Amino acid sequence: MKPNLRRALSFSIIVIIGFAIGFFAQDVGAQLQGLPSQFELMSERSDRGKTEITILQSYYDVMSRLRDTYYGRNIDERQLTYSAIRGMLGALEDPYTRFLDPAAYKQMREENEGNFVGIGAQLDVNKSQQVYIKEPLPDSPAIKAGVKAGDIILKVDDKPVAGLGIEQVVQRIRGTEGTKVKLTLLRGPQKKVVDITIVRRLVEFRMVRSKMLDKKDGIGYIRLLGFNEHSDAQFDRALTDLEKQNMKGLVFDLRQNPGGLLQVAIQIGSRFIDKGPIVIIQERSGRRTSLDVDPSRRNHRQYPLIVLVDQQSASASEIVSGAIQDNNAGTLVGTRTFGKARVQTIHPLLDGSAVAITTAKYLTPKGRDINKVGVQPDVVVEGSETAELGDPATDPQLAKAISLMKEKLGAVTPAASVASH
Amino acid sequence: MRTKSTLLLLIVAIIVGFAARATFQVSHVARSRVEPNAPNPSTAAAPTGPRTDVGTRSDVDLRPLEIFYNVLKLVRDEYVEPIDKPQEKKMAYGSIRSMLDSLHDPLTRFLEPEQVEAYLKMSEGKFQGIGAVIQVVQVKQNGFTEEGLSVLSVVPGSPAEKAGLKPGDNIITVNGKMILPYDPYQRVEKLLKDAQTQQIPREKLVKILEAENDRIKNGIGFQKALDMLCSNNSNEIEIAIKRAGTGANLTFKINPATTVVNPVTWWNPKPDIVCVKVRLLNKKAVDELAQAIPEFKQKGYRAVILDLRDSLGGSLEAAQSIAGMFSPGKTLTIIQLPKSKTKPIKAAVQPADRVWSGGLAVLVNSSTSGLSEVLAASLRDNQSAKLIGTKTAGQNLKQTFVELSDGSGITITTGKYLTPKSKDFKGVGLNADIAVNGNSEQIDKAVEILSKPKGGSV
Repeated sequence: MKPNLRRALSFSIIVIIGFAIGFFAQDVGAQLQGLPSQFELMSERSDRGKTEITILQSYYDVMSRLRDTYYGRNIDERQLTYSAIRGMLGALEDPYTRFLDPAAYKQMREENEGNFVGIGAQLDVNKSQQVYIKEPLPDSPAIKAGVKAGDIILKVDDKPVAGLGIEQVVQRIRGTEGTKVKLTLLRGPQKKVVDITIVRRLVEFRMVRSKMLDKKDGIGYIRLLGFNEHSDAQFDRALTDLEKQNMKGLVFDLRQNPGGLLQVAIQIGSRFIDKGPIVIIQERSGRRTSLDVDPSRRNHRQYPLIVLVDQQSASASEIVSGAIQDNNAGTLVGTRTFGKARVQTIHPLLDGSAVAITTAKYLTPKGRDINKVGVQPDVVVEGSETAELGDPATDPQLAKAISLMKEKLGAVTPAASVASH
Repeated sequence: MRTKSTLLLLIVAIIVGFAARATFQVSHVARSRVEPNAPNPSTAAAPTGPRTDVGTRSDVDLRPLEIFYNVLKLVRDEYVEPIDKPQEKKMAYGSIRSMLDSLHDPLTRFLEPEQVEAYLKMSEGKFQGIGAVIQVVQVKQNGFTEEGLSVLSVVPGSPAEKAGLKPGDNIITVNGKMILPYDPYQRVEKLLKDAQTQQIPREKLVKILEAENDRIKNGIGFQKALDMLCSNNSNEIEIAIKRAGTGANLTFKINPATTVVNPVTWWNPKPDIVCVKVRLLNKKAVDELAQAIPEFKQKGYRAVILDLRDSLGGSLEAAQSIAGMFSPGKTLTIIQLPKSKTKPIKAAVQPADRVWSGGLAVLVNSSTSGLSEVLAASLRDNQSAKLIGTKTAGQNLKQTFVELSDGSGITITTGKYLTPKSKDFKGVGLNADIAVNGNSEQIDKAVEILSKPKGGSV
């Protein structure tokens, strides 16, 4: 406590001294670059010794100046401070150390928690620029109320939505938990107009898409969209579901997965690796902490594994794919990953905003630093711009994964695979 | 973790306590520097000293300060690389620059020490770089404002003049780079917003987005471009412009160098009429005019033509001194300050031998700007001097320069200069009383007016 108090004291002293030194001000007249200015104060200026600039003092000086003398639109000190923080963090030239204003931080929290209040339906825009229900989520308020895939949204709470963008429609449908929203939908080829009233509930984001790619050979497919608080439970359910369908080999798709929570990366990684570290965290002091396999997540059989990655597989996706590669637990197929091997700590601030600070590096289990380098797949296959991810007909990386998996399954008998576990 | 955050909150509370106290004292000390009659700062700094400002300060919200301090502390304590001194400086500069830029006011900006030097040298009439005075133009269109650069005036004898740059030239690229506004992504954001509600063919959209991406990637922020044009750091600068009027696209290669401008020069268009050209309102101009005016009187000149064409303004103090040589003690300008306050500024009271009481005419043009416009307006309002020439630039915002502890500085807009009759001429300029085009025609006109016997003296 004592050193902190001293720090607080010295802070107030700096503020006072800074002002006592005084400033040198002059008025000049026009909107020009570099203006003719006043001379008389030059002597005063040169008398004064220059001192190093300090961040807090200069922020304070400039803010006080603006508050007292700025002529123009009204000064919003909060917004100015947000800008000052953005500029200060920008000087570190680390894109991940950043300021989150209250709206951005709220969104991030929602994404990490993996919940939102709404009706639980995925929307899209059709060719006629109409917003429609692409898919009502399983067990969602939407599906229970009878919303069907393909329904075109005409009105929300009796207000037409024609001409609105998808985000604006989403905003109108979302609201407080327990409240009602009325949708007017255009359904089917008969163009029947249906009114459905739905109670808004807490809905989990769907982080996992899974299916059997090949029932005959038993090739299962799980795509993970991000690492939030529900990811691992959803992943677990998907594995159980695929096992019921006789899965013999798994294609695990981490493409376009931007990452998420570190502890969730450990949970998911633990599902594929026997023991030992998933990732090694290195703090600025140089101290290394190994985050090891969580045995409670090893509740499934092991299957031959192929992991799909691309240049948008980042952060937590790279922890998992890097650990799988280092442990020879599967084959990585696709293109080199993004290359973000830095851990951020999120600190909430007093007014609902937050700051994300890069606080540590991480290394793969074998000690590789993949920052700016990425994880190089074992089998490089370029993606296609027109690929529908998960559809082998249009997705060349997935097609390659399937053919490799067939080789693996041919070489390794199911019995041997079980035995190896 | 929990105890840590409680501790942090406690520290913050303590800091706020101190910061609040500091603020009261600070404001007092600061005020005493501005107003010579204020109590001695040393007594004000003592805790028991008089603190008249406390009441006015209670409305200051300290939360932003807390938030800023918290972020700073977190970065210093936790960032993956230890923060060293050069990094601290970059962070300080970054925070001030970003804070001021967020106001989107080109007059309110951060200057690095090197730019401060260039800025201050300009007040002595030493222009670095290409030797042109460049203004930031803000154009509002499609629902957003974009900043661009144009040449306000070209310094005589400068590399820019030799190359052929002209006032009114709009700068398109600097070293092949497009000039970018504060927020170069506005166009893209607008486009994407439009694409939500209107039907824009995908191919067209992609094409525009790619072009925008190129423009931003290969562009240069207008402030960076300005700093480059006003420094001698590069060997050669290529500038592409669009000429006002003709619309011609021209490219110039200019080697930056320092151009020295003599603020005051004079000559005799007629044996008894003297034409005094004042390019800058600075200390040197004041000193030279203080010597010249007694000399003009001694020589028996009948009239002075005050040539303020291309005059760039300068310091308020110099403007007051110079105005005092023509209309001593009269109102020079009324300053419009924040919160609807106004402050009249009077011309200095000069000794009688330095006051010109003979005939007076003032020449102005579209490059007459800032306090030079203010001076012209006051001579018109107070002395009935005729303004001859063309409409002035219309730049009457008051800009204050504040130096920071390490030699960097900021400029901020702190008010607006109005004419003695409280007229605002921002963006409009002052109309000439007698509109005449052409350099020699303008002088001829002035000579003609001043040669006429005054109505009352017949």
